[in-house]
Amino acid sequence: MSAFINAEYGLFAAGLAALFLAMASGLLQAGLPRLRIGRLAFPAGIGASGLFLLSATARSLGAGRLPFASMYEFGLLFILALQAIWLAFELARKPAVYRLVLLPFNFVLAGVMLLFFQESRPLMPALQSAWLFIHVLTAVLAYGLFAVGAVLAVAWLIKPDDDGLWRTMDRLVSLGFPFLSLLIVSGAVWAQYAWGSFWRWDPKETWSLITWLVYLIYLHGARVRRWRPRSCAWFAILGFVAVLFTFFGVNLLLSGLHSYT
Amino acid sequence: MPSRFNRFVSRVFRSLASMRLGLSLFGLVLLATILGTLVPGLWPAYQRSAVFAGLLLLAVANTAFCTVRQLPGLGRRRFTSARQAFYGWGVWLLHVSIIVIALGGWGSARYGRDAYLELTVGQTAQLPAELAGGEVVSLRLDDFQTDYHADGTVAEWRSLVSLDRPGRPSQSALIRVNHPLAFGAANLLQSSFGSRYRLELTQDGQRQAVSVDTGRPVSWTADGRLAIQLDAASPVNSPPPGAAGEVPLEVVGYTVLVDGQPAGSASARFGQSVRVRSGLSFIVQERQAVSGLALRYDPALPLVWAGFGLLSLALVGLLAGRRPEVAIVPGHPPAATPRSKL
Repeated sequence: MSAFINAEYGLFAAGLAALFLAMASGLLQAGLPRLRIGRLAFPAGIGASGLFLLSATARSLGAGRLPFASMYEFGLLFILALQAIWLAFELARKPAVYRLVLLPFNFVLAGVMLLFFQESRPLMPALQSAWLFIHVLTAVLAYGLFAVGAVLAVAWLIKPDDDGLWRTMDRLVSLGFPFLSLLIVSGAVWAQYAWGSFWRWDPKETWSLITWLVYLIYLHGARVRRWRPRSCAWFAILGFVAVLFTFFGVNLLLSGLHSYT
Repeated sequence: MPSRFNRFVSRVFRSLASMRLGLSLFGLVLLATILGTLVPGLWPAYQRSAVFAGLLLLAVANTAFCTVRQLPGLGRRRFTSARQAFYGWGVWLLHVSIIVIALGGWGSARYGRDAYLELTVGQTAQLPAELAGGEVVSLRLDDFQTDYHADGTVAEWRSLVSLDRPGRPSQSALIRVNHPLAFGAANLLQSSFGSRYRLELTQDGQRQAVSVDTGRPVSWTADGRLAIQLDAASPVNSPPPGAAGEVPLEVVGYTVLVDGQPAGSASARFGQSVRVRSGLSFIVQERQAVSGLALRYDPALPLVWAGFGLLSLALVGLLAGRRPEVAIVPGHPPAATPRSKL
């Protein structure tokens, strides 16, 4: 067991180092175009993704289950989702600005998640359900899309002449909303089976509703009320702040039925 | 020509169905919910307050009016592709599903009922008739088992129960966490577990036998100043690696309380006398496992499931469909569609 723990920790740390290399080379390239160091960013980013994937595999083998349960495990999946979105941007040959904003964000997030590293534990009875996988997968997809949407919103606020940034942000937020809705529905169905009630105003449930309302207002404001793009960008950032509070804040500050870790 | 009254009704309806009102209401719900969770001591009583319920009601009513108002336009609309139609109808169905879920949620809060039962093996309890669809239902716990992971944490609780109803054959069922027993509009869930101990307390040679549940203090002395509380039973040592499954429980943690405050804690083996201080000792003679079963009666649950079904269908429409392109150019008003007057 300890061999798996050492391996997964080491692989994650190596992934973090590779991510730093990808981020640093991208930033240096932007600052010093003559260096041509930016060519390192793509292979280093791929390497980081592979190392995070291997770390998740080692954890799965050590625990005898998929890494879907604790806050650290969710963070690991979240980073993998963000790396997948980064790769999609690279393959779609998006401009360098996407790399410049996304890789530092992934690096900071991975660094924070390393602080939350903990050994895998067996699943408690309430978590032994097929709904866990549906619930966590929809969460990873929704939060990943919103995270990149918010990062692009920040980039657009800095560089407002780049229409592509705004459009991509808007598409990601629009795509994330159905997954967020499915996340809440899957959680409610699971709660009905596990706790006998589909909604209990538990802090995690309530904050997922708050997040849903922020994006609901965003979508209506952007689509129907024709808000100014700047307002939409700020709302995309606000939505992700709500996501972060639902993920970190509720776990660390508010106790409730979701206090598993 | 529409009468003045009809025009008035039409104007009121349009106001109630307006997006401006909807966004304001959902914004207020959002702010109220954030404040409710962050201000200490406000939650969860706050979400049961009339103000919060009123805000939710108005927001859902606005959604309902908006949905009705959109329908004729949606029916007349010519979509340029099937994917656009998927998207258009998906958005509309999403609104319908929210109304259905909200109705189900209201019905659940209004008519739902809960009860909690703690049974030892062999014990029978009669379920409250209003939670069992008006029937006389008795529930017997035939067996209760706890499985452990190799690290000593609980892997599973299993309650084997028999349900007896007049005029029907006895129904036997296994209840586990995430696998409730459904009968009628009620669900019986594995909620918790504990122990009931038979304890022999001795004070200055005087013996008394008492029954005590996990975590509930029992008075030891006549003046009630001294009490003892037993915790969950556990194996003698943590199970060795690979010893997952059912594990014999042989020790129990106890806490001695003086004037309600903990004065000392330790562990006791079953059947062995433990001297707490001069003249005071106890023996944990027997342990019976207690299964905590929650009974939830919710006649509005089918409505909620229907709402979830519609919502999932709507989301499939949104994901498979294609949103009509709207040219939003930063810094410029959008060109493809005019700003909504709603």
